[in-house]
Amino acid sequence: MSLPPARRSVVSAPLQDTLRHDGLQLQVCARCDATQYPPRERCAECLADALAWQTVDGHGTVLAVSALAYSLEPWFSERLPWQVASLRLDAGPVVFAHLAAQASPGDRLHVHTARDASGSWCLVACDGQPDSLPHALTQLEMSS
Amino acid sequence: MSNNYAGVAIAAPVSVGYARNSEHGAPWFVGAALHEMLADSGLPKSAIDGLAIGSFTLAPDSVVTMTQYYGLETRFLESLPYGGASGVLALRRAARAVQAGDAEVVACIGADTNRTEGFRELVANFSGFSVDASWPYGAAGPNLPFSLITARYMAETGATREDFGRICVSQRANARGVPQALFADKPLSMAQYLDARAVAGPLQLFDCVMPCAGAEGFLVMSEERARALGIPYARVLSAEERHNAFAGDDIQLRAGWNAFAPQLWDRAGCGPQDMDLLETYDDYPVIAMLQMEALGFCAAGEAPRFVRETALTVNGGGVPHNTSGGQLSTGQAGAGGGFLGLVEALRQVTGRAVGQQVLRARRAVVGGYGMINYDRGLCAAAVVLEGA
Repeated sequence: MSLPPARRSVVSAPLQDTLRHDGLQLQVCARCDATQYPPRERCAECLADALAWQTVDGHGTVLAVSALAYSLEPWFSERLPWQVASLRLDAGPVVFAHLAAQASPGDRLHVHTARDASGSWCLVACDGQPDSLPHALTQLEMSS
Repeated sequence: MSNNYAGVAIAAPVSVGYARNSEHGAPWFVGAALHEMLADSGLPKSAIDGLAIGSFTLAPDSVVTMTQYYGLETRFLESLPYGGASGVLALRRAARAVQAGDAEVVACIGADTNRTEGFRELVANFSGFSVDASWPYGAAGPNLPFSLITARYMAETGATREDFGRICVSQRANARGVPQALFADKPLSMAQYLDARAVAGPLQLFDCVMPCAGAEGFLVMSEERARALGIPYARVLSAEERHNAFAGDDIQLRAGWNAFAPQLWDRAGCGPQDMDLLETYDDYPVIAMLQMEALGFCAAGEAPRFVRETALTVNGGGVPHNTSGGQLSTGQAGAGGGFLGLVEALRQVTGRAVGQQVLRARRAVVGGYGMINYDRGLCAAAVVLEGA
């Protein structure tokens, strides 16, 4: 049975180990408050060795959406088309996130950390409705 | 301070070993390029005293291990892990070595092999950022960021699928008769382009380069040396590079070219209107459009109109673009793809086209672009060449 790619960087291990809530956990610099993504060893703004994983504002604006019709991994190939969005988070960074619902550029969505079918951390974007995250996780075969 | 390239010659353009897949390792392709460049220039192997290589598949070998592998004694080495910008960056570094007297003849090579599983392994482990933040999202490799860039570009400029098709279809026509182009004998119609299978978002099959094996290369030496050898060569009128430019942009609709273009043309002493051909880095047609805009062939957001109004074929009376078919018709031989446009421009401005020759071609501008770390390409480069 195939699984999505499980591999993540060592620098993201703390996120992997503490994944248990909904919401969005990213690295924030204790020196300058800059939110980081993708995960880094040190702060991209002030270069301080002061990054800590924190819950940050998950609101973001959709920049673009892509329906993938081809994948190099069997798990996704069996589930095409697969929807991915890029979003500009209010907290600063641009993220790629799995997308369960239809969305268009400019839409406001919530980005959450989740576990994909391999058990590894990932980001999921859904709308702000109360049951939209559990619904999205079910649809994407993911868990919180 | 001016960064002129006076006295530098670029010569001996080679494109060798192209195949969809290969059982050979990357050293075979490095050696093939060296072999062809020596044959073309008439130089003995002992004359090569500088080696600059771009390759994704050379490990566990490296630029220095190639010296013992092929019996070279060098005093200048350069490794170029810059993908689609590696050709222009090789030229810039080799030119400085020659001007400074650190080397007399630098062999610049982009060479990669390709195996069935090779491309998946390359993109799955491309960088730390891509491992965490791109590959888990559908394992689509560069198709994901470029589908997002293409979708945004279409929304902002009104570009249609047919506009991108004009680039792909004209390049396929340009590939006719080009021995190394893997699709030279497969004409592409607009209907075929538009009907191709979906890949990602607005991207369909013919928007995407095919990974392959192959090598590209050229020699950099002094003009004096090139003249003494009696070989055709080109001068470097100007060359620039800029990395991680406009990092705050939501989606990459401009890159380092936009930052350096005024300087590029100022130092070259000419402009886009003086170019006899344009070689863009064409991993996807939207990136070719961004270069047409950034390098001044049309205004920002106007490339769709430009490609509607301008013939892009070799002698179509417009702006000959990617005159050997580009990567979209040749295949993308890893870092070799980052040399392809420069090698082709060198052939054209020295009257040595292997396919269709642009009549009276003397000047060319070549774009480089590479390294999709996460959501955008980090490297941008360009060079203006003039046949001597």
